[in-house]
This record gives sequence, C-alpha cells and structure tokens, in this order.
Amino acid sequence: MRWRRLIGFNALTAFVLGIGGYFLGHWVGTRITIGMDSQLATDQNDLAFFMGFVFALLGWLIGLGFLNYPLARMIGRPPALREKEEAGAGRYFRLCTDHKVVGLQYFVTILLFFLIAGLNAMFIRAELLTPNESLWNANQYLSLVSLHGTMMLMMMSAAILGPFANYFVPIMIGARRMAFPRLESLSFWLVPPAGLIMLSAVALGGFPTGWTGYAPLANEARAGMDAYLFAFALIGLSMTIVGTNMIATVLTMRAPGLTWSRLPIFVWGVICTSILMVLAAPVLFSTLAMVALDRTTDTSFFLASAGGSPFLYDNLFWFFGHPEVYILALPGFGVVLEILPVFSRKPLWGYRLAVAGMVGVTLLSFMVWQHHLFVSGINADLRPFYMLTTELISIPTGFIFLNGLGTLWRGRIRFTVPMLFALAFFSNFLIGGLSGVFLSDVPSDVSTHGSYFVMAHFHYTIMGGLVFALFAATYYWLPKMTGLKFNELLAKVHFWMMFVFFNLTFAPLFAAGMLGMPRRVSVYAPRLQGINIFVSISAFLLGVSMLVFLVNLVYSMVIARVPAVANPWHSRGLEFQVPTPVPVTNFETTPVIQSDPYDYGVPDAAPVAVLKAPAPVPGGGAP
Amino acid sequence: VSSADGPLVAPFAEFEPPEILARNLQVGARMMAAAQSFALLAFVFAYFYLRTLNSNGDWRPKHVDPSGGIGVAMVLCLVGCGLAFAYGVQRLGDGTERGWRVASIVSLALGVAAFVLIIVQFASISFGPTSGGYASVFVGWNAFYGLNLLLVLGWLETLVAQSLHAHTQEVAPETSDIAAPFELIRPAADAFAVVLYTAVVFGLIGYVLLFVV
Repeated sequence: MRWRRLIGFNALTAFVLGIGGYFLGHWVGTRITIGMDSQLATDQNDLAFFMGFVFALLGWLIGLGFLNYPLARMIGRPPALREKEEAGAGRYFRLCTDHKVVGLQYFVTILLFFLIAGLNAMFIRAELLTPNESLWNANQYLSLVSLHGTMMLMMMSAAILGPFANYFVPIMIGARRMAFPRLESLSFWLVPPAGLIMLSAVALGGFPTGWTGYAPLANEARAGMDAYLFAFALIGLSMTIVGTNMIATVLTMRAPGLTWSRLPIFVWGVICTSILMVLAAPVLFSTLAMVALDRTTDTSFFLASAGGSPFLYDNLFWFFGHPEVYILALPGFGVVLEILPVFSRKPLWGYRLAVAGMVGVTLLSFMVWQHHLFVSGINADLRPFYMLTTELISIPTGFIFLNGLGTLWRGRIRFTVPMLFALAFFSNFLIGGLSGVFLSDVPSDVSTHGSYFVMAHFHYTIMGGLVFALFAATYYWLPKMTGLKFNELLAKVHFWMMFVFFNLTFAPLFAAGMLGMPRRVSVYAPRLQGINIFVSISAFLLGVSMLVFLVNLVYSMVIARVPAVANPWHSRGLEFQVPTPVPVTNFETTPVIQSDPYDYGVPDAAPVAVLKAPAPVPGGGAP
Repeated sequence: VSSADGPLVAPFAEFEPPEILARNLQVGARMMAAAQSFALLAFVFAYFYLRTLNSNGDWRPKHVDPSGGIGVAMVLCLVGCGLAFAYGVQRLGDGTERGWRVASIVSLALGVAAFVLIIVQFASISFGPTSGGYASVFVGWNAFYGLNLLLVLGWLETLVAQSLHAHTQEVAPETSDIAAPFELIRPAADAFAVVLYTAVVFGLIGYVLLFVV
C-alpha cells in the first residue's frame, strides 16, 4: 500500500500538524489575553498570532520527528549519529542526516523562495512604470517592497551555504559527514516554515517596515509584522545552527594532510561566514524578541515616550545587519576564487592574501554598523570613526580582487558558464564596492541616503555579487550533485541576458537616486518616468533570464538527463575526485591529502589526495 | 588522483570512534556558548543604552522595585548549580562516578530551582512591563534568560539521564553507530560545562545589573 508511506514522520505530517498547531496556539493565545487591557485595546491580538506561530513550529518539528531523538536521550537512550534512513526520493521529504540530501533540499527550497521574491520585484517594477499609483495603493506597494527585501535577505543568507556548503564542505575536507547531522537537517527544516510564515504576512495585512523592520513603526504595524518577526527569528536560529555546524566540521573532521594552508578557499569563505552567523544572528534573534515583547506585552524597548528608544533598535539591528551583508558576500568570494584557478589553469594567486582578506572583512564587519545611522541623529563625533572603519573594509575586500586578477593574469582562460558568472561577479561587485566607498563618506551619504542610489549600490553588491556567485556555483557544482549536465546553449543565453539586463536595470538607478528619487514610495517626479520605464523593461527582461534558467533546469534535469562525467571541469578539487553520484559515505577510505588543491600547471604536482587503500601485497607483506 | 605508491590509509572503522564526537562536542559547545553570550549581550546593551538615555525621564520610576530577596535566592541557586556541576566534572575526571552522579543531580535540582524562582519573580513583581525602560529590560531579560536556562537544563537533564542509564543497559550494535556510546559522558560533560558556566556568568551579570547597580 503506497499511501501507507505517507503516514509517519515526514513533511506531509509536519504540514498537517503545523496547521493544526497554528490554530491551537492561536486559541491558547486568545485565552491567555482575556482580561489583558493592552491586547484588548486594539483590534488585533498579537500574542495569539505569536502563540499560533510557536505551536505551528512545534507541530512542524514534531511531524518531522525532530523531538524523537532528544526525548529518547532525555530518558537515557544511547547516542547515535544518524537516523535509520531508507534510500529513495522519500528522503527529501523527511529528517535526513545525509549532508548531500540536505544540500539538495536547500537548493530546491532556496530557489523556490528566490523566484517568489523575484516575482515581487516584477510587481514593484510594474507599479513604477507610471509616476502615480496605478496597480497597488501605497500600503500594498510598501508591503510588496518589504516582502521582496525580507525574503531575499532571509532566504539568500543560506543561498550558498545551504546547498553548496552542506553538500561539498564535508567532501572537500575528506569527511564522511557534518559534525552534527541532525542539527544540519534541523537548520534546513526551519527554512520552509520561515518562508511560509513570511508569505502569510500578505494575508495578515502586510508590513510596512521594509526588511529592516524599524521600530517604532514595527510596534504599530498590522499582524503581518508578527509574521515578519517570527519568520526572521527562525532564520536567525537556522543561521546560528548552520554556523556552529560548519565551524565544528571544519575544525575537527579534516582528513589527514589537510593543513590550514591546503584548505580550499571556498571552505575559508564558509568558516568566515559561519563566524559571522554565530556571533551576529543571535543579536538579531534577541532584537526581534524585544520587538515581539513590545507588541505583545507592551514593554517599551523602542518607545521614547515610555523610557525606550528607537535608536536602540537601529543599533541592535545593524549590529546584525551589516555583518549580514558579508554573510551574503563572503561565500560568493569563496565560490569565485574556487572557480577562477580551475578555468585559468593556474594556481590561485596569493592564497594567504585571500584568506587574510576574508578574515579582515569578517573582523571589520562588526565595526561599521553605525554608518547606517549617519542620518539618524547619532553623536556627530562618532561619524568619523565609522566612516573610517567603513572605508577600511574596502582594503581586505580589495585583496580578493587582487587575488582574482592575479589568478587570471596570463592564465589559459576557458570561458565556461561558471567562469562567465565568476567574471561577472568581479565587474558587478567592483561597481557595488566603489559606490559603497562613496556612501561611506558622511557628506555623500547624507545627500543620497534613502534614495535609489543606495538601492542601486546594494543590488550591485548583493545581486551582482551573491546571486552571480550563486549561479556560478550552480553551474559548477550542480552537475556533480545530480550527475546530470546542463544544456550549455541555454546556460549561456541565461548568462548573457542576466548580465546585460542586470546592468541595464541597476546602473540607471544610480542616476535616478542622484536625481532625487526616493526608495519605498511608488510616487515619483514625472520627469523621472522615462528612466523608470527603461529600468522596468530591463527588469522584466532580467526576469525572463531567470525563466531561461528555470527552463534549462527542468529541461536538463528532468527531460534530457544527459549524464555528467565525474570531473567535467578537470578540477583538482577533492569533491571532483569521488565518483558521480557521490557514494553515501563519500569515500571508500579516509583520504590522505598530499598537495595543494590549486596546483594547476605546476610541473610534477602530486595528486591532491590518496583516495583508496593500497591493494594488499601478495604474500601478506607490507605494501 | 589516487596512487598505489602513496602513504598508507586507515580503513573506516565500522562504528564512529567516540573521540571524533568528543571533539565535535567541544567545538560545538563553545560555539553555542558564544551564540548564547551574544544573544544575552543584546539585552545588556539595551540596559546600558536605555539607562544612559533615560528617555522622557522614564528609565526607572520610583515604584519599579523588584524583590531583592527572590533575586538573591535565584542567583545563589545558579551559582550553586555551576559549582555543583564543576565538582561533578572533577569527580568524573577522578573516576568517582558516584560523586559525579550525585553532583550532577544536585546541579540539576538547583538549576530547576533557579528557573522556578524566575517564574515566582514574574508572578510577584509590583510593576508591569509598561513601567518604563528598566521594566522593559527586566521583563525581557528574565523571559529570555529563563527560556535560555530551560534549554540549558534540558541538556543537563540529558547528561544526568545518560549517566544513570549507562550501567543499566547493554548497547546493542543496531541501536547506535558510535563505538562505546556511553564513553561520551565525560567529554559531553566537559563540553556542556562551557555552556552552563556561560549561563551562570550571565545570570550573575543580570543580577548585578537589575538588582545591585
């Protein structure tokens, strides 16, 4: 009976229990608030919504079986590393402790939410075709902008770490698994409820704050704000777990011979990102908890009229928010520096400089957050310090550019699709980075703050950087993950459309910002309509390029299914030395690393690793 | 890539050796302690920020005065919880398993007492969350710290349960993929100590900020 397989600990059970949990929690919350003046004074019961989300999450996790193991341990059962898992597609809908399954689960989920958030961007650009309100009213437009920004920032935090670090870091370091396989699975299974709860904000009246959730506006918003707070906190929790797991894995599970100076540069990017996640995401969690308390129990953390301060929110949020930018960027640095040597057939130039650059960015990213408050009335004496630290961070970032250029110099470059995306990353991120230096200066920041100039800047860094790196990683590693080749023609069409229309969309917005067009409002000066029509058409064509990718993905992975060879790029990466599909235990025996991963073109370079135990010598002697 | 002339490589053990998991626990626990610290530091920052700003003169109106007695009792329980656990870990190192078990149970009991006192404090305060900046931090800190403490105590209970059952059951090979799984109690206790001591230190910080200064 096939239907019997639907019963048990899986996503379907989780979904049903999650929905049931929501209504139960909402009811409990309503009962608790009977007699609470603070909740009865308004027409919405925020505590009931929060209780609904908490119970929904509990139901979701119970349905997936996440409480079984901890409860068993609490009554004295012995520890075990893995769940008992069956082969087959069912693994993708259950708690699975195979890091490769988690990687693919992440890939599909992230892609789905990325497309939804991208669709929001299309709605935004459709509205901006005219200088007055047309498709959406002001509140709806603001909710669209908020949802787009939050979903992109939330989901894209794990865009590279989720699919590619989970899948490849253990293989790259010669391990069989992640340090904490159940936590790895938990970090993924927190993402779908976070995304769904975030989407539910639309049904709950939306939220007007943008992705930053500024208080005290957040205190006054409709119930959609509750969805924002809970969903973003869940992502913060997931990020903390991912970071912990990655650091523990790399620190303790490296294969013999894999010294720090032989560690793949992508893994260094993952470590630096993980440090930021472990230290910054908990602050986000606490900050959102404070807003939730303001909304549910009438504390006044952020209400100046009652002993609080909205600047407290600004400080706490941006203590997370700015490292978040590097949580997005650092894995991208890792991906492109991993890819460039492969397609230049040269060693990575300045490996140690690259590591220093990433570590420098990591450290400095905690010291720049107040540049987001330049126009918020901070003490004027603090401005030069934060201006200086913000400008300083461009130095370690510059190291990464030097590494890239040094690697390309006199290389035998192959313009494959992953390489094209990696090269585009550099040109886009350069524009984003240089405009960032411009914005770090107080005078220019004061005059452009809140304008489309800032919006163009961060789209050049986040979309031009992270998203291009994400596609570079996708075309580079997905054939290894699935064992199937992409259609190269469609992939190149995707790249060229995306590169051209990305630049045509966002470069004019620098000009729109300089001409005074403000962010987050759908009404603008009629003289800017021409530039906005141009940008909107470019944005729609950028959206079409995503459809080309989607068509290629479905065509290549579902219809054509052309098998990929184990090492299609002739890479020295350890992940390409194992068979495709990658065996469950990754390696037959513990690999012994014996040379650098980037020794391309180096005469007499030793193989990167010994992967198999030597055959026994006839007669029983030592081999 | 592989070479028959390369160095010898060890085949995988049938079960995961406990040393690997012990190392993972050490690093993982330190990361969790760091995350715990930064989450709680956000409230410490809020305390100083709002106290310094004293918006509208509403940092701490005169009637906002929580019970010092309950605060002292709670912090004593927390410190006792940490000390008992430290003693237990020492005994575990000496090989005195009985001493470890008794100390860990005492530690758990004191931790639970501290948690109960947080709830009692909540039930008995003479002011509400709406009473200014201090009241907000007080409510937020205790709610968040209490939740954090509950999770820490859940881990401690797991350790106690593992210790009590280690001698009463044989581990069948099909129930665990770790060789000698109960040998992990010592490294797990060492790892957990970092998380527990961090929680105790922040309990002390919370007490000093909310009741003393």
